[in-house]
Amino acid sequence: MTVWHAEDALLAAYASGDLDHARAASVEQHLAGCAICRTAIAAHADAALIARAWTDTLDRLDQPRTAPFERLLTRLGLSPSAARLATGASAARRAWMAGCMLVAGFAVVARQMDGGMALWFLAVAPLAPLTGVALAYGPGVFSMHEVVAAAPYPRLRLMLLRCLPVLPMTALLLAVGGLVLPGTARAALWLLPGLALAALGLVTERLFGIQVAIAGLAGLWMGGVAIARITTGSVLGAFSPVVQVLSSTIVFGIVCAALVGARRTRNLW
Amino acid sequence: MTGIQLTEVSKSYGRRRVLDRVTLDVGNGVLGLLGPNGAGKTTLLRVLATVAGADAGRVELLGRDARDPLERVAIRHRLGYVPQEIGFPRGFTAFEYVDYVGILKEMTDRRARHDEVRRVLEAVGLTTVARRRVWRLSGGMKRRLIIAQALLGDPRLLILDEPTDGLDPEQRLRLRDTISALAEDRCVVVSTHQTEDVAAFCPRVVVLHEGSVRFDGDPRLLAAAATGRVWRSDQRDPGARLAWRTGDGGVRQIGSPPAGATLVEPSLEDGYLLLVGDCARAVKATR
Amino acid sequence: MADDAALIGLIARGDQDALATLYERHAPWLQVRLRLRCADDEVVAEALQETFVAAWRGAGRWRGDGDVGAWLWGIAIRRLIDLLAKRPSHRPLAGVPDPVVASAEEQVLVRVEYAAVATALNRLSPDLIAVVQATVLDGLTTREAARLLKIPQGTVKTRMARARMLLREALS
Repeated sequence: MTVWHAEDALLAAYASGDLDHARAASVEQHLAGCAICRTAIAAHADAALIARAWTDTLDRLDQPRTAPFERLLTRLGLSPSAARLATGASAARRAWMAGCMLVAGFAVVARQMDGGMALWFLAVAPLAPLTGVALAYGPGVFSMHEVVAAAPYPRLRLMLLRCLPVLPMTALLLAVGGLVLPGTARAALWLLPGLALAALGLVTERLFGIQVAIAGLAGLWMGGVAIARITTGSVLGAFSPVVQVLSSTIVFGIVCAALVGARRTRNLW
Repeated sequence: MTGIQLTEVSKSYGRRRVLDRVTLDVGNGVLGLLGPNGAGKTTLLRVLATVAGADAGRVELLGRDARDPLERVAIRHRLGYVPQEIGFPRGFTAFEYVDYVGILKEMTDRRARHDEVRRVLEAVGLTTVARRRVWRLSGGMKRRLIIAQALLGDPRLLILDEPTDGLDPEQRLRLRDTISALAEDRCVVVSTHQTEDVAAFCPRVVVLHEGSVRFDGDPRLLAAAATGRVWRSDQRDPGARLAWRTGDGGVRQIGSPPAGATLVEPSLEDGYLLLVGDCARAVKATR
Repeated sequence: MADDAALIGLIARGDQDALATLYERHAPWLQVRLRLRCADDEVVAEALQETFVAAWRGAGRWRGDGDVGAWLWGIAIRRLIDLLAKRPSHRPLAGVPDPVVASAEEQVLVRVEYAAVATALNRLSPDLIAVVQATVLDGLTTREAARLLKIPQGTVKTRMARARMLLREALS
């Protein structure tokens, strides 16, 4: 094609905006099709600006992809890095959401069938927060344990952040429970035992590992429900005031212990 | 400010004593940690990384008491740790993984953190795969990624548990080079199974056996300890402590001289094997 | 060295080095050209950055026809418009206009000093020049040109028609 190339002086004049309109336009037209002159004009470009724009470009490309829930948390006032900790690693969140949807769906279906089945929703629901916590730790996240343990980030804060994604699903279950069970007060019955199980899961995870802790607690709870059914004749026995008081004591005790531990390190947040 | 000062550190899991009155004083430079499986290497490194606490004894890292929770946080800010077990959250890219650890290291300024993430990825040669999902990386790349996160924030204390494991010879060479360069002005402790690693870049080696320090000093001295006890012959001698076939068809043996054997120059490996063998016999004898 | 089209292929597969090469090749002239349309270095840097971010993300959608340089410029000028639209204080620069001739004749124009066209162009008023530049040289639609120049679309059309008429008169 063309063998003609713009002289350096012409490019310099173009770059500094000194050419008249017609000549500038033709230089641009030429540049659009000539790789050699495009290279040559680099000498007249703003190298510092170009270098800066490149690191900015890289930085933009490196921006971690954010999930909708992560963006929501940021909008609600959480710092972007905290939102990242809360959601970024819980890769199993989708499984957990699916699980909750399943429980909720089960509850709705149970309501269609008969009132007794709806009670079984009540029996299973307390396991939901526990499962959520377990999945928030996730297989991959849990394998990061050593790296996390050697990092200075406050332990309690990290733990709470990781349990954050459990909240909206718990709320959903509560809402569905309200629809399914007669009387909204009853729907909330599972909340305290659920929280207690989740808190116990967090504590026992350190001793037995997450799988054993979760499986053991789930087994204990279902066993308790079965015993309540046999002795009192109803699943509701597992939600008696005694259980509620015991549950709140457990939650309260664990929260206090965590706070005292964090306070000792003066490293709560 | 010295790197590591351990005084009479002990730790047990149940009734098993994993660390037995370990005393160590480590300054800048690379310290190689050798020992058979179950010798307590990983436990010692976990104590040094503030992940595990000691049952007894004094652990002072970077001039701070690791048993004090506040001081421990200060230590962690200047600590890089490569654990033996590596795991990654699924779905993370290499960049996102290191960035996540950066957040855990309380690097709050996003821009500065990202620059730092790029720096450490560059240092281990992973820039080109920074945006690849971790599960798609090769084993060697994953190893290097774990090392990258340990370099975040320019730590003064680096604890590396078998960092050369799973690397090919060239990567191993590059990693040794990186570690040696880092160790010029900071304290690095490296555990390894590879005596060549120690011979190549550790001016000081500690041999751990059954939870206690059996050797602490120049690797050449460890090799020299086997002088006069390493032989080469054509036949395996039943009386030899240790014997193995070498590539050239001969048999290398450690122990009393077999008939017709020639004395050979001991390597670090010979010294190490001899020491560990002696230790094991001594333990048996006392039981 | 891979040509630009091959680079786009590599970028589509996530090769960051290819993006770096593409940047090295095209960022300088894009910067100069953007700078002639916007005096604010910050905006230019941002447009440049967004251009290559868009190239990174859009490389997979590149159909492989046409010139990569032209493609990049098409992105760059539109990013610039978007950025300028966010800054109400912006006064568009009366910059470089287009000669309104087929591009095959461009080389001739530069070499032989195609006097009549050049004189005619240089005689146009800044308002008309700006419209010619935006629509012809930068390849913007009437709507985009209107956004860039902050004038109604109808005005873009009438100015363009007037510029065309003046040039035709000068050349006949």
